[in-house]
Amino acid sequence: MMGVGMESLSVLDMVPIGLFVLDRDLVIQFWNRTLETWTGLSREEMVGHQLKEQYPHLLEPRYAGRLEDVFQQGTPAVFSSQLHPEMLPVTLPGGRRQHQKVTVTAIPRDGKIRWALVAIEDVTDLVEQVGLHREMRDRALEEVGYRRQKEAELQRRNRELSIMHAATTAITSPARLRERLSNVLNLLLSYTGFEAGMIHLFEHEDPDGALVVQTGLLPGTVEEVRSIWLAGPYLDLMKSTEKGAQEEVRTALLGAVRKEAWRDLLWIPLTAEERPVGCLMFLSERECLLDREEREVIESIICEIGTAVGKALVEARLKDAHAQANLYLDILMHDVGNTVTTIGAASELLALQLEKPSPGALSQIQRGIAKVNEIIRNVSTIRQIHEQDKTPLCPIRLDELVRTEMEVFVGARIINEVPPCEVLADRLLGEVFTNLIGNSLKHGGRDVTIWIRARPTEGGIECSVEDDGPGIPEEKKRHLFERFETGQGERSGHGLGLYIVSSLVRRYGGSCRVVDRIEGHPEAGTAVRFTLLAGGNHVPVSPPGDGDWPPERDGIGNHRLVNRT
Amino acid sequence: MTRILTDEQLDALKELINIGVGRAAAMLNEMTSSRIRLRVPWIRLAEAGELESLIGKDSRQLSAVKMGFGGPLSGSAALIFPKTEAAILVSHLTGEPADTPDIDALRAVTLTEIGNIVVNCVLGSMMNLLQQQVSFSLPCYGEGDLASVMRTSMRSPGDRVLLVRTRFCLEELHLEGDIVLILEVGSLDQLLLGIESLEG
Repeated sequence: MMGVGMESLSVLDMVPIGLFVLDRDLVIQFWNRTLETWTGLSREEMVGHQLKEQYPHLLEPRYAGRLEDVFQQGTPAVFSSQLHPEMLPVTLPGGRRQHQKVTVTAIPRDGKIRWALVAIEDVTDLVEQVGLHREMRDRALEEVGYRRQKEAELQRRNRELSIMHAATTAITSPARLRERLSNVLNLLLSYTGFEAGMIHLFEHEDPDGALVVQTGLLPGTVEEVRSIWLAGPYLDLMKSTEKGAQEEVRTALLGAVRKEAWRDLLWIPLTAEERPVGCLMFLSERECLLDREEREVIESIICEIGTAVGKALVEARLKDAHAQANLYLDILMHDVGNTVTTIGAASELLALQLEKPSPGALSQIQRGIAKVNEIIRNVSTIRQIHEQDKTPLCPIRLDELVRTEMEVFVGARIINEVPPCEVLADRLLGEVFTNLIGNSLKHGGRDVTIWIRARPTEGGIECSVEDDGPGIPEEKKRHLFERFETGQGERSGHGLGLYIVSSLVRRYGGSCRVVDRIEGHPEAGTAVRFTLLAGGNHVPVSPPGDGDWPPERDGIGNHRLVNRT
Repeated sequence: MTRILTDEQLDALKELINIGVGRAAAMLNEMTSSRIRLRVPWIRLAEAGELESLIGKDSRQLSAVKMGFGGPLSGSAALIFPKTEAAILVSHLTGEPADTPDIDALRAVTLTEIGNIVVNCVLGSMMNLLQQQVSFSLPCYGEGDLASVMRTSMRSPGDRVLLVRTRFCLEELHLEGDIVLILEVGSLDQLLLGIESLEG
């Protein structure tokens, strides 16, 4: 190297960096020992030779231009391993390629740049470590991305469940159907991003037979859309499940709403129990795209709406049926009752006027009248049970009520063993005793003895109405409380009395059963036992026998006669 | 106090710098086989204290490649990017995934090379004009806010700074960086004299 003694450069042999010196003609002037080791090319082989002899690619413009700048301007040049992976190819043990960072700096002398020092750093370890670090980072990022994706899915699912819950709550609330539909419509609009919408039910109790709830639409648009919905061909097409038919309806509706600059429209038929009952329509001023999950949520909510609408329609029909049944009952109880009263009066008059009235025929007429009156009375009681169904129960003195009921049955042998106590019931509780005492008298005849008892049970009171009448065969006992189930004897009733008893006891929170008055001896009479909830502070005194029924239940002696007049 | 440059002087400087960045773009394209274009929308002569407001972007997270120079023209030059834009530039030039936000040690060297090329070319066009030998320090990479990346270059808020807004256009990607030239006393005058002699 001209002007620079080799001995002064010998220090460069000691650094772990590849170093060589070029002159302006790109002839190598120095080649250090590190480079000898890396490249396998000796100093002797390289010094005095053109760079291009061993490394012709370094004369390509991407390198040559920058080397020229070093000599012309004196500006240093940096070559990174990422942009120049093969600047001075070196194979490392194991066959790996060496990664290098190369810096070229000018060496001036006498105001002129005469040489350039090329320094090559081995950055292979750095590249590999960075590579490992990137792999770890990418894996971590991938994991974070996966977690974020799952979180987003969870949030989305949560939102879907939340909207479905809100919609279900709104549509099943006790509010009026119009209000419920309006609430659920607003929820659907906020979920889908549509700006306006309406729900139209074909059948409703409104005066015009249809119901419309809407949000964000002008009255004129509502009327226009309704006129399309209600027009014959469209109504039929709308009820059709065919896609072509539905598309035809959509086109017609779009024509109507585009007059107000609505751009996108979604309409969905509303069905209840597979029957078309109405439509939903959503409108937007921009294009609203719903993905599969959103559509599924909407379909699910619309299914709920359909169920609620179907239920409302059934309720409306039930209300009509109930009103009709009430009309029939009014006719029965008022008109038929009046007629029977008239017939009764007429039969008594007839008996007085006739010289030789037939006792059989007259008593047949009077029994008939009594039966009709009983039927009317039973029907009236059942009606009251249904009407009272929603009124709260209140404490009633059981012993006093039984005493009052006994007064109705003048001449009957009734033994009242009910201690002072209160039960939860209503004013119809007396009907239970009226029917049971009446049944005992009907089936046991005038000489039958009736016991009425009560004893405490867990959380309530068990009552027992017993008689020493003919008893009931075992196979009939189970069905006695069913409606229209009657006894077998001549005096059997119309099957409503015990049905009334069981209906009332159920309403009071209790249950009924029929047993032999003396177990295993059906011929010794019947006991009807039912439970009632205890009310107030009057707790009955426990009867003897550790809460069991007293020994008198075997019907032998010690009967106290009451109300025998 | 900020020296006021005439429109003609600014235009001449801008032309000089445009020659440099044009050459830098050609070199980058040659090296990376990319289709990069460099534009200089504007240049400003300002005081160092005004630099932060002139750079204008998020000056808390910057990546900078800086070189010092001495001689008839002395001072330092830096290519400065917001760190995120620097990462995007490196990703595009190296073909790495563009969602890599880091500037690790390897990417720092790559960015050093890019800055080295751009600054070399801009300074080179000035050297050619002055026809005088200037010595250079090696380029170095730094990150941080403006004060920390230019810490050793700016001595006082009154230093003269030539700020060159540089736009890197890679296909549909447009990134903006700044070339900051901090010139010591007399250097700007030397430069302007050189320009005037060229015009004369």
